[in-house]
Amino acid sequence: MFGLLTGALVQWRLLRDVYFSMALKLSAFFSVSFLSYLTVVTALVCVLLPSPDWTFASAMLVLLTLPIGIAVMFSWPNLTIGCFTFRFPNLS
Amino acid sequence: MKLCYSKLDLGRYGRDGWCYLRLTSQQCRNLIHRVPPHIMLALGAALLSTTLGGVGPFEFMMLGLLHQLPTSEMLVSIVAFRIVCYAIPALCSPPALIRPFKSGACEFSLAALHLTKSNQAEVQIIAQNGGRILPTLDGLSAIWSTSQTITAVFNPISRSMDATLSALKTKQPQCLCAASLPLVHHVHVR
Repeated sequence: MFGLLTGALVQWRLLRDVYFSMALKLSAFFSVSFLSYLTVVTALVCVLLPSPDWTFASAMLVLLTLPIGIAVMFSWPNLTIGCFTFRFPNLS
Repeated sequence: MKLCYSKLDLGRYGRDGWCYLRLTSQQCRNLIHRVPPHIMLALGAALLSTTLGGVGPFEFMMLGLLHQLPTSEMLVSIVAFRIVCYAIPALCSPPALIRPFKSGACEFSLAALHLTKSNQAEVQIIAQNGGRILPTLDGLSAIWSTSQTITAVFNPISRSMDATLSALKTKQPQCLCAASLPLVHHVHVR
């Protein structure tokens, strides 16, 4: 949470014409995407290299659901839950 | 460039870890494949824990997962990692944030695009929306800027597209913010 806030503040400071709300959205999107990539890379490393046994099942689960996740992301880029719509932040 | 910095960071961390852990060559051979998964797991735990800098969960995971290594040297290695990857960047970045835009660095140095510059209807649309003129090697091109890009829209006002591409690559750092990317949009296929 602290990184999310400091990231938003730095982007707000460095990007012209960007309001703080947009900087916060960008920071949140960056955090979620970074954690997603880290999960995939960690799962790959845990499967390929010697790692604790308890990581294998969850790593395989992540790697097997990865194609489904990618397909869902490209098929439905805008996710609507109730009255909330989630979409990629757009600087333009 | 960012990849080079990342490699430099990882290299420095590896050097610090190697210096402080004082592993024998046999230990290095045994651990070289075992450490990356443990570091990734520790990083994930640190990120999800929401503690400042992941202090605590990262050390806990590393010491718990690599329990065969000496604790004191391991902790010194982690402190070295924190100095290289956290403390030094944190100390270096605030001066750059005090004045992120030096005076004039982000001001348009390009002339405004006027309606009389071209008979092309598309160029006149750009002119009505704050377009600028980018001088190229042998002619002129109409550009339109966004927060992150400098965009040449449609064909050049005069002369070749090659000169426009070259001007976009070479002149954009002096024309707009360093964060700008050169783009070409909606031009003739050739």
